Amino acid sequence: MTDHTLHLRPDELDLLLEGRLPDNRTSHIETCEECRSALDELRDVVAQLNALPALEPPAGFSEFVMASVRVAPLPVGEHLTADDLDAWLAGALHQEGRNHLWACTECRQLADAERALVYRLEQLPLFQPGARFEERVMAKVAIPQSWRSRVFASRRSVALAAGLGSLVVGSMGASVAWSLTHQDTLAALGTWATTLATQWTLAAAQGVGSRILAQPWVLELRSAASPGRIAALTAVATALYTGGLFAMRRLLALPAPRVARALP
Amino acid sequence: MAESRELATLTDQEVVALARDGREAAYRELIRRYERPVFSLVLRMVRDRQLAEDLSQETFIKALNAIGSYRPEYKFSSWIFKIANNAAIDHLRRRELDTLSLDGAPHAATPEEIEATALQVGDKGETPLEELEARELGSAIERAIAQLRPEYRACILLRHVEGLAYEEIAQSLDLPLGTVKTYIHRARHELRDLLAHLKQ
Repeated sequence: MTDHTLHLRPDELDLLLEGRLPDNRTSHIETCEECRSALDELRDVVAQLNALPALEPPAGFSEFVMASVRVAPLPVGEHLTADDLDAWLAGALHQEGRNHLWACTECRQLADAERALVYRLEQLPLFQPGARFEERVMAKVAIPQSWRSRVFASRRSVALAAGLGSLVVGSMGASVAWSLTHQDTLAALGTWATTLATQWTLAAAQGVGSRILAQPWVLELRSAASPGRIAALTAVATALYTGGLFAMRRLLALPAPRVARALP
Repeated sequence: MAESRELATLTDQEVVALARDGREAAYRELIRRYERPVFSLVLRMVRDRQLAEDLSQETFIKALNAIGSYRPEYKFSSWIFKIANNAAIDHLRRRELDTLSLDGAPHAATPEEIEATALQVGDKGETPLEELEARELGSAIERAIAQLRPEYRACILLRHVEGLAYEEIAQSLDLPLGTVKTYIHRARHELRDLLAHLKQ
């Protein structure tokens, strides 16, 4: 049974006649008698229309029409700029420019002259430098050698690289093996080094502290210090620190983004 | 031979990468690709074949020895033309070369002065090399190009003879894009005038 929802629409019949209907719709015609007959009718009508003879208009028809039509002059607009000429040479001039070029003799002459000049320039030959130019250049060029090409440059360099590689790998392997078999020795060494470093650090701190305490200004500071003075000094320092923070914040602040102003 | 055929199919960037790996054939390929464009640019700038060969040679030696510092985001052509143009401009500034060798000195105002300072093609005193130069650079358009300011000349040659885009010229000459466009437009304008004058 034929599904009527699948019938070809008039526009699809048109497309079918022109051979542009997609295949999935074309196949419908093979199974649907109704659509096939509609297509045949349409084909007949088109054939009859195509067979109609062309009629000649009455004499003087075109003169009559042209007499009633006022041909508006093309807008000339502004002369072409140098950029427009470039665009024209590249075949990319906008429509307005092309209209202007068609109407403006001055610009057309200029454009033709530009095109002729560019053509002449493009025809200029390239010159060949003298013989052995390449050799002369290459004689003075230092070609960098990659490590691969250096290694594989000769048998000797290969042997040298292999020897060096074995030495490095061998010594690393020996070191790892020794570490694995002498873990007690390594642990004792670590403890000894840590103790020694701690002792040295403490001795250095003690030395620096005793030197500072022996300074005359430390003694003066001790005798002059009183709870009131210490409080005043702390207050001044806090105030200075806070002021400094504010100043830094202002200096480092990012500029405020510009706000678009509404027109009055 | 097979290697050079293979290299010929690669892009500039790929050839440069091989050169950086120390492949001599890649260096030679770069020379082969650019010897004519670079030499032609320099020759039209300095209008002296021997000097142009020396400057082109200097350009390639400088570029290839510094291939490690080449930044692949730029076109190789822009880079080498930049070196070549700098070499030519430096030379012109150093020597204040008379760029009107065939048409008389630029300061020549009267017809007598022009005649007195102009080089005559085919003079008895010309060497074969000078004759070759005169043949190569003696056409009206070449003589007109020679009369342009060096900056205009470099721009117009890179644009219309070497076929570089405006952006590449700006990169090569270290000039803003707008300046490059202005130079090229002025150069074309001057060339049109000069050619019309030469015709008359």
